[in-house]
Amino acid sequence: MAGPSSAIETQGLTKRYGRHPAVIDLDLHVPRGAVFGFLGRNGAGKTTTIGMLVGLLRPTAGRVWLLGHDVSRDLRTALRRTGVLLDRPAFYPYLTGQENLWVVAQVLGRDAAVRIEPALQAVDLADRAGDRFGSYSAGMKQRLGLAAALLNDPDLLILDEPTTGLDPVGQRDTRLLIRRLADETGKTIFLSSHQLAEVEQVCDQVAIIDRGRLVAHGPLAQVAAGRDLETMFVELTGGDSGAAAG
Amino acid sequence: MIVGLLRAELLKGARQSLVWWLVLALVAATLLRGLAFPPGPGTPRVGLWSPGLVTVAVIILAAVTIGQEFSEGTFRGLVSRGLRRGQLLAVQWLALVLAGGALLVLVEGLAVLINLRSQFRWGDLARAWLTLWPYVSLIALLGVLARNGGLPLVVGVLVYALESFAGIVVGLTITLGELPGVWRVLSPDSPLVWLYGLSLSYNGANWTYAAVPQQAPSPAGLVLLAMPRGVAYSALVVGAYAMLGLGLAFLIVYRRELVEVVPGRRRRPRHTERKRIEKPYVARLPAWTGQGPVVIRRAYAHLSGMAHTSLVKIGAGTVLLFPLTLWVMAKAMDDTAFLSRSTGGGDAPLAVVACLLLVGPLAAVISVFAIGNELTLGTRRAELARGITRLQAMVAQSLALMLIIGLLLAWLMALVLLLSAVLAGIYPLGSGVLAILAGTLAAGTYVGVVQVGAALTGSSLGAMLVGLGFLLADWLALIAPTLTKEPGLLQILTRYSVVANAGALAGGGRMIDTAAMPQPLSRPAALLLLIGGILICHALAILIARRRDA
Repeated sequence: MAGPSSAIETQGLTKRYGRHPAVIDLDLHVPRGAVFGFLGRNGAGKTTTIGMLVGLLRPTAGRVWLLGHDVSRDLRTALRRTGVLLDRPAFYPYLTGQENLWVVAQVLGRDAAVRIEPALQAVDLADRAGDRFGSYSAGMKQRLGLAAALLNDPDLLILDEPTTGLDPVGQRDTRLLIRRLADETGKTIFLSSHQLAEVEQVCDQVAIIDRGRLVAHGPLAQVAAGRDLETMFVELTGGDSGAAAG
Repeated sequence: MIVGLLRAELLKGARQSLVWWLVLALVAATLLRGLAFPPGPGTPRVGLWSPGLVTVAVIILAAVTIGQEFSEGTFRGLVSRGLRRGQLLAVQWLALVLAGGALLVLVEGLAVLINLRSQFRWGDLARAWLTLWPYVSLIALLGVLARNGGLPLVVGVLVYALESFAGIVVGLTITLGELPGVWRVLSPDSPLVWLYGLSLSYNGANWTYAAVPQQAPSPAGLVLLAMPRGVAYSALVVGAYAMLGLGLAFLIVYRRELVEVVPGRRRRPRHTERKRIEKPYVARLPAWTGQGPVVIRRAYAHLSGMAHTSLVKIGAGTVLLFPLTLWVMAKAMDDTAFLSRSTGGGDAPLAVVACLLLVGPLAAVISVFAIGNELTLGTRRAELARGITRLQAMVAQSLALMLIIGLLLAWLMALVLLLSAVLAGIYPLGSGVLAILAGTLAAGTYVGVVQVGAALTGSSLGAMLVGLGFLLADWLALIAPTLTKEPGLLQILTRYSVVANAGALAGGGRMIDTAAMPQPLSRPAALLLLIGGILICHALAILIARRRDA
């Protein structure tokens, strides 16, 4: 059992697809109240890790605790206090943004429905809430996903590349929102991202994963050790080969 | 939470255009049958008339609804919010069977209002409603297996069509009494009876009409008359299918991984990496790449792409059921005359001509998914951006689709010819080749109609509705003369049925050999009509596409 200070704790977390290891022996420790950056190249194992955190994938080995709850036994209790934005915001294209949030609220319970309006305002989508999701731009879809993640007023937010598809203003607003949520409400935010500048601006702690293995973990300043994050990231993930990057 | 989820399903249903299109189609079919082509005065107006239509509508609705949950990612989205996988599946199943019940009430109520049926009986409706359950369970199972709507739709419609086709064959066999040994086929000990006795269509009909053949429409009524079984037996079979399908769906959905994973870089030994670099990617591309006219190159690219999809493999596997049915019939009847006997005054064996009945479903379903994918993935738009004209893009894709259907038909025909040679000692090679040509041309019209649907609506759903709607209309046109004794418009419709003309070209006779069917067109006229159909549909599709933004 993880200590009460941990929002996310994994021990020896491993996932194999057949013979191919996607995540190997991952030990993560995300303290409560932290904005935690989870970095890695395409196919490094970020989405697989998030899938295991929220119960979409079954680990081959290892254990996961979310907010002190062992997800193999008590996933639903943990998810009731967690907001999740997956890599691709998935909603019904023929429903409006507001109706899509109402559908999510049916899963979360009675209290969630009253938070639809504030959540839409928080992501600056209130004026387009009556439009069909299918007509949204990529950035608006992403913002609706963020609103859905906020519906249950979660203690822990797990965000998989939340600024993908957003324009520069949208990216800045999302970064500010994440920082505000952490500073004003004390929420823990687990942020998977490709954008190193974003992680530098927003996160207190980082973990870097490469080919399924954790290669760095700790406070941002300590991991970077005086260098800029990009140089350090390229060094740790073997990015010097260039052609394989994607 | 369950009530909340059901309310959510209700909202989704009300907002989905597919639901309203299906309601419209069912209402239109009921009005058409009741007002435009009313049954003759001597025709009994008892029992229900719509379970078959509603079953097809529910199969389409279930496949799209459940498939979309996986393909759009909403299933994993809701599961990641703490919803149990089983809860979501159970609520969707419940919502779909309730929707099926509502459709039955709507259509049967309308049938009574326009005097197509004499009275509205809740008991009959309740029994018909229960027969929808196993189909929804089957689609749920296929949906969680495939994680998209395509496979459940194709397999669901094909299962229903093949079962119904088997019922029609058995029914017509009894009616006409032409085939020797027919009563032996339907004896209680016959393997065919045993097999057909396990089918959903037989047990569904037996249970719906409470084992009273007079209540059931032809040919189901005739089959029930010849194969009497207890209502309890059929209820058990229907219930077992429903429970088994749903149970397996639950089992699989809990074992499924729900994340799309980007393949990572594997740790390779250095010598493997060297080998990979030594063999350039270009060397691994198909031959002919980059040569010849653009239409041929694009058609070849489409063919290469489709050869890797499961849809074509499923099609190739599904057509195996047809020769298998012929083999079972030959063994059960201990007679192979139907393999060599020609039909409807033509010169080709019945078995060869009957293969053409599969062209419509195959062509409609494969085209819908191939053309729908172009729209969904945006590959057609990318072709236009590279300077390929709409005409070239559309013709190349249609050519590839016609070739694929032609190849599937050739595979089917090879099996039927092999069966004819082994069992009956005949080699109708010429008829087989002509049937492949006729089937390929018939497929061209179907492909063209789906292109029109795609151009008109710009959506894969629109292409599907237009394609499957045309399939239904074409089949209705084929069997229209058997619906009423009155000559006139129906006979004219039958003359223009794509399948009927393919049959006329291949066999030189009538597709369905009853006095109600009109004399077929001559072979040259049928050939002209088939080619004309392809040209008209494609010209229309190009005209529409040119007026729309890509």
